[in-house]
Amino acid sequence: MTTKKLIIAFMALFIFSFAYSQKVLLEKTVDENPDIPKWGKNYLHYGHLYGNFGVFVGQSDADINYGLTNSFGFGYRYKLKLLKHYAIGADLNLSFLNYNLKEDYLGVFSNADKEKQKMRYKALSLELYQRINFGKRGNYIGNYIDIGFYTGFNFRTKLVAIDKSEGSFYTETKTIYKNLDFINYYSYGLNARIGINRWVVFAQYRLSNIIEWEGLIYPDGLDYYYGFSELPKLLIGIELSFF
Amino acid sequence: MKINFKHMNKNTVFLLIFLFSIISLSGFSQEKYYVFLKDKKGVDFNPYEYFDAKAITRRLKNNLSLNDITDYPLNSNYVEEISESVYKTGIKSRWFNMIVVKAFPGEIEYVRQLTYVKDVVKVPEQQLMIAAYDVNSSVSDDDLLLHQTESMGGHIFKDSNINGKGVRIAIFDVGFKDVDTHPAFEQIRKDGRMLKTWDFVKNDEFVYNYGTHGRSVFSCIAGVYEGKNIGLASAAEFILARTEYGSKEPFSEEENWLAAAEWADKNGVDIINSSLGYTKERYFPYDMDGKTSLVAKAATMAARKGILVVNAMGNEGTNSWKTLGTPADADSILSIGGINPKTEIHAIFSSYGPTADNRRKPNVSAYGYVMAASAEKLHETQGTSFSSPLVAGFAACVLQLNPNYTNMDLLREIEKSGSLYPYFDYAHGYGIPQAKYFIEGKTDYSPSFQFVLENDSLIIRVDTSLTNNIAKDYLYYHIENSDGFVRKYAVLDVYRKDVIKFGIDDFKKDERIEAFYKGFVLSYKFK
Repeated sequence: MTTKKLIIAFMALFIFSFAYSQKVLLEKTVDENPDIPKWGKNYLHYGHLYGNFGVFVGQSDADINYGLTNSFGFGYRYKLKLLKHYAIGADLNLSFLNYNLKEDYLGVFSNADKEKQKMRYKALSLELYQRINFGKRGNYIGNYIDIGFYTGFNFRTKLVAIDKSEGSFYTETKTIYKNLDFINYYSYGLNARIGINRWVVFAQYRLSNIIEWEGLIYPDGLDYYYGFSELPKLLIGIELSFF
Repeated sequence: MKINFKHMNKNTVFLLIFLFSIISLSGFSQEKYYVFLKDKKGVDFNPYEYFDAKAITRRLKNNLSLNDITDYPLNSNYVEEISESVYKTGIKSRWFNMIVVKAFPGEIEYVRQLTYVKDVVKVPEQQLMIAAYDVNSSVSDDDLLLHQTESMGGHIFKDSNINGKGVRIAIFDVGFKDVDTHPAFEQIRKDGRMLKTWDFVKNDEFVYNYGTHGRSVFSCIAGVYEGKNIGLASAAEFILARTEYGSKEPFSEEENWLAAAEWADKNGVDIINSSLGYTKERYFPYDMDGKTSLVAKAATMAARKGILVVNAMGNEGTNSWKTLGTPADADSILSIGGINPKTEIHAIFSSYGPTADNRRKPNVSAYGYVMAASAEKLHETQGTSFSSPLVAGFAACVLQLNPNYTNMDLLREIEKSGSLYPYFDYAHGYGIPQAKYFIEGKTDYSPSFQFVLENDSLIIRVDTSLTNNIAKDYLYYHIENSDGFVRKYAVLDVYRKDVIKFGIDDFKKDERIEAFYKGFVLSYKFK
């Protein structure tokens, strides 16, 4: 058989099979005794991603720019429903913390009025929490309060100092210190959340200190060290759950 | 690692105050309760004073007592004492001898101890699905407007001058914006056939705002625009109730539905259309048993009072919920699914049956893509919210034609008029109700297929030469068990004689396969 004949035969077969096939427009199988799903917003297990943003508030010995001292984070939250209105869960979070400092932490500035220092680090934390839900609801997150305890690991610590000088020439010197040894690499604290479905207001209180007071730094070969003031511990913000 | 207690103390206090304030507020605020009373001792009731004349007629037609205790008002002494004991009272239901209250914990404990209080049920404060989306069905607007009623045989009613005259319909919705000015309702206004209105959310008469959904729904029952029918019951009488808040959807909407149903009953309605439903915000699929939600109980009670309740199935077909909402799950009511006018089968968004206790739903279906009254004139919209009023208008025509029908006669006959009847599935119910059934009687279709046993197979073999005046070449089949539960169903576009082959071993004893093709229905039982 030539190639041409083969193609014709194949096409004929294709057209024939198309013409005599049935088109299923709708097909449903129904379970007479459907199992109650285990996974869902108000079933036994549920998990979802979220993102949050918060600002540090409360007193601190450190002189900081409130509002610019903040945290962005995202994570995954798992919930295990134990009772109608009570659940426990775990939360894995990665946050990007940024402390905008007014004071000359490292004593590197030539003009204190124009100083700008930022301390940044990332924190990977694991939280165990309990949730109390309010009101009857279906497969719905609903209104709730979470209270949890977290412990985290701080990494990629960085202090950025920008020194602006206006002498004969305007100069800007940016100094970056990495892997700060005066930072406490472990932290722990309490989390609280008030949620209405996907909208959440949260508060996080760090029980541990972020500044390791024993940690000394001798910037630029100076023979003295600076002690650092503890940074604010209370973070308040909003969170959006993705589901 | 060291803890800086100096900072912690101040901030911890702040945090704890913040948290405990929230917890305290939620724990000690007033909550909502249903207070059920034991009796109606010493209560006088004169049905002739309370009921509209049409309500009396309906009761007599349905062989219902005019002195049914469930119609008596609540004992006013009980109501007064409870009202004085709690923060606030809400609706008072004659049907359920129940009063809705808001009370602080101490107050409700006092009420619970009252000797005439039967039960106190705490009410969840939560949340609907009104279903309407602007869309394009890829059918032209004029065609769609014509076929949304014509698919039910609208011209047959029209030719017989059947238009719902003398039938009273209540519509429960979120608001009826501009119904007092829109041209689609001009004749109804001129004739004074919008008899009563009540806003159960705000407790006043004005309902012509708040939402456009009710306007679209109303038009699908009775609207006429530029001489063209949007719905079939253009000469019916109407009472309009706003029961829904709209954007905010608290549980009190179900209470409003109950109050509106009692109000509709008192005012002598024959039919209630409710294009409303509640699903995942408040319930689980297993709650859709017609017995769990207040609104399902209210709909069932309305049916017991002789009212035909027509309710949308819901638009959860493509969502994880999938099944119907409540009160579509209520017993003895007509729950309406949606049809895609292009394919003439189930509209993908329309919720599926059965109920959680495996009762058959939907009962029937109608177009789920419609032309309905919009701000200026007409627009295309979709949702079972509009399938329901199409059938409500149809039901009004049937009742005009058969004024002696009870609500259950009406329900059963509408099912029997379905385009697929006696075939049933959980997507289409018994199909689209047909006016022809009520004017010309049942049509007998010629056998269009047969079951053929070959070796270990059962084949559905169709006679493709038959037309039976049914345009679409679709074969519907379902497999049901001995309890009548449909475990599988399908619709096939037929291209060949042997449409489908089943292995006999795939069936259990006493299972039955039933099929519909070109109007003809046949079943085969496995023994």
